[in-house]
Amino acid sequence: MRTRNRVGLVALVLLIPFLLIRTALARSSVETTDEVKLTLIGRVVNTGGESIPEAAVRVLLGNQECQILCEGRLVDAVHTGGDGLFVADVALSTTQMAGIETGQTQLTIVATKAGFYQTRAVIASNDLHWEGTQAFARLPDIALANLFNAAFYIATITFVAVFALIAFHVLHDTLAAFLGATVMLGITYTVGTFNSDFRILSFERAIEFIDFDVIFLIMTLMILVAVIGRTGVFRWLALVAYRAARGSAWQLVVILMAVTAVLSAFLNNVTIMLLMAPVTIEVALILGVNPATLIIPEVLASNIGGVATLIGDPPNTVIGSFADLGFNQFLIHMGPIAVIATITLIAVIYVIYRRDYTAARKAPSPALLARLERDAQITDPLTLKRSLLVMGAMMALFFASERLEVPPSVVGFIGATALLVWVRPNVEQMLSEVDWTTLLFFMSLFIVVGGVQEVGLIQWIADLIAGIAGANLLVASQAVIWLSAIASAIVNNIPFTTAALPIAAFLTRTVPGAGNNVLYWSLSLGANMGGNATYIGSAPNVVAIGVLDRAGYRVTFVDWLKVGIPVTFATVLVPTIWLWIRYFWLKF
Amino acid sequence: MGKILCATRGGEASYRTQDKAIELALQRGDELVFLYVVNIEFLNKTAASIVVDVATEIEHMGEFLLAMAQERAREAGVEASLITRKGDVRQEIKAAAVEEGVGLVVLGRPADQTSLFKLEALRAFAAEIEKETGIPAVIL
Repeated sequence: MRTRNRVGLVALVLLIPFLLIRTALARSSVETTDEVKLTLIGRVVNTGGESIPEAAVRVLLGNQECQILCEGRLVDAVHTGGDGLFVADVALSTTQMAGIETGQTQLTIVATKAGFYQTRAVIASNDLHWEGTQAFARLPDIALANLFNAAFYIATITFVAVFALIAFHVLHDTLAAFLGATVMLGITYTVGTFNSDFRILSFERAIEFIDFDVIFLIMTLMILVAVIGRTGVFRWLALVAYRAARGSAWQLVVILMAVTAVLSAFLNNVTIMLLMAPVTIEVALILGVNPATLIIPEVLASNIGGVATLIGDPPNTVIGSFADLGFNQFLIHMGPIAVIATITLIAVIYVIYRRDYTAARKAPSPALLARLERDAQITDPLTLKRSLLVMGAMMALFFASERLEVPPSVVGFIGATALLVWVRPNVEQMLSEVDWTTLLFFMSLFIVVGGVQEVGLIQWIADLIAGIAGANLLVASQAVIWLSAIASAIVNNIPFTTAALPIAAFLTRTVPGAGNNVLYWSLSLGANMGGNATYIGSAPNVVAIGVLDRAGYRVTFVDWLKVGIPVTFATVLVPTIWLWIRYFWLKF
Repeated sequence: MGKILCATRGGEASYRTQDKAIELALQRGDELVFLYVVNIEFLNKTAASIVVDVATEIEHMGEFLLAMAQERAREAGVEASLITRKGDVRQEIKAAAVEEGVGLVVLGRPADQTSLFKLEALRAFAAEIEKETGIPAVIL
C-alpha cells in the first residue's frame, strides 16, 4: 500500500509539470488562433472634401503604435493613394478587439501630411463589421486642415508673382509660369528635403496636376487650324464680308463680328485674329475708316464666340476637362449665352462707333481694291475642301463624343491625324509649327496652380467665397461671374480659370442646388467675357493690338478701356439675366 | 538723280511723313523708296497659339500700306518703289539704305506723346544711321 502510494506520488509529481506545460502551450495556442485581422478603410480629405494623396496614416491602440501589414511586411504607416484612400491591416487579439468594441480600449487613426495639421479619428464600435473571424471598419472621411506654414507663404507669393509677371508682360507668359513651377518644385526638393514645412508639392503630384486632356486637345486643334490657315480662307472671308457690306462700314463690321464669332466657336481665336486682322486693316483703309473701329469689335466678337463651345476658348477647354463637361453640354448651355452676348456686343459697338462708320469713304481706290482682291484669294482650294470635310467629321464626332464616351482630346487626335494623312503637308514643318511654348505654358500653369492647391490657398479662397455666398446659389453664381470677369480683365483668363476651377468645384459640391453645373457656366461666362475689358485680358486682344500697331495705329491701354469696359459690362450683365431666367427662375 | 528711303508703317500718323518725303523727292528730283519692316516682336510676350506664318500675313499688310503710300506719291507726281523686309526695324532700315544706295533716309517724327518712338530715341537712331552707313538721316 505504501509502495502504491509512493508510485502515485511520483506519478503526480511527474504529471504536474506535464500539465503545466500543456496548459501553457494550450494558452499560447489560443492566443495565436484568436488573433483578429482588422482592416481599416478610409479617405483623407482637405476641409473642402477633396482627396489628399500621399498622407501618412498610422494606427494607435491606446497610446501604442500598431504595426500595419502592407504588401507582406509590417510598417509603421501606410500612405493614401491619388484618390485619398488608404487601407490599413492590423493584427489584434480577441481581447483587444473586445476592448475596442466595449469602448475600454481606443483605436485611433492618425493622419499626417506636410502642410496640414495632424488629425486623429477614433474608431467607434459601430464602425466595426465582422465577416467570420475578420473585422472591417469603413471610417468616415478624415479631414485635414491646412497648416499655414512656410510652404503656404512661398507658394502663395510665387503664385501671385507669376500672375503679376503675366499681367504686366514683364516676362513671356510661358517663362513666367515655367519659373513659378520651377520655384515650387525647387524649394520642395532643396529646403523641403530637410524641413517638411517647406514641402510644396512633389514631382509626382505636379505631374498629376497637368491635365493632358487639355494639352492634347489644344495641340491637335493647333494642327487643324494651321492647315486651314494656309489655304487663304480667312483673307477670302474678309473680302466676302467687304463685298456683302456693299460699302457700308456698319454692315461690314456686323458681318465681320458675326463671322469671327462663329469661326471662334470652333477654331482657335488667336489664329483667327492673326489671319483676319491684317486683311481687316486693308479693308478698313479702303473704306477710309480707322482700322481700330473694325479690329476691336472683331476681336471682342472672337472672344465672345469662343464661349459657345468646349473648343472655342482655352478657358472652356480647361473647365470641360476638369468638370467632365462635354461638347454638347457646352453648346447647349453656353451657346445661347454666346448668341445673346454677340447681339449685345453689336448694339454696344453701334453706340460707340456709329459716327466713325458713317464717315466711311463711299468710293474706294480701284487700285487698292484690286490689290485686296488679288491677295484675298483661296490659295489651296483642295486642302480647304479636305480640311472642311475633316472638320465636319470632327464636329460630328464631338457631338457623339459624350454618347461614345470619347474624350475630346481623342476626337482632336483623330481629326488632326486624318487631316495630316489626307492633306499630306510637310509633317516635320507642320509639327514644328505647333506652338510648343503654349503647351509648355499650360503644363507649367497647371503645376503652379497645383502648388497653391496643395498648400491650401485655393481652399482658403473657396472657404471665403463659400462664407460670403452661404447656401445661396444665386449669390454664389453672381460672385463667380463678376469676380471672374474682374480678375480676367486684369490677368490672362487662362491662368485665372485654371486657379478658379477648384473653387467652382468646391462651391458646386457644397452649395445646395449647384448640381446643375451653373457655377461652371458662370465661371466660363465671367472669365471669357472679362477678358474683353482690357487688352491684356486675352491673347487675341494682344495679337489684335500688335497687328494694329504694325499698321501704324496705336491703341493705348486707355483707348481699349473706353470700349472694353462698356462692352464687358453689357456682355456680362445681359447673359447674367439670361442665366438667372434659365437656371433660377424657369429652371430648364 | 539720287534716292530717298522713307521708312513707314502706314497709318494716319505716317501720312505727314510720307507727304514730306514726297515733297522732298519732288524738290530734289530724287527717286522715292518706301520701306516697310515686318516685325512680329509683339508676339514674344504672350502664350498664344501661333501656328501660322504671321510674318507673311503682316508682310501682305505692309505691301498694302506701301501701295497706299505709292498712290499718294503718284497723285503728287512722284514715282515711288516699294520694299518690305523682315526683322529688327533698326537693322533693316540701315541694311535697306545701304543696299538701295540711297542718299537720304527719312524717318517719321512722333505724332504725339503716345507714340511708341520718342523724339530723342529717333534722333539717336538717325545719328546711328549716319555714323554706321554714312547716309544722312532726317526726321520729318
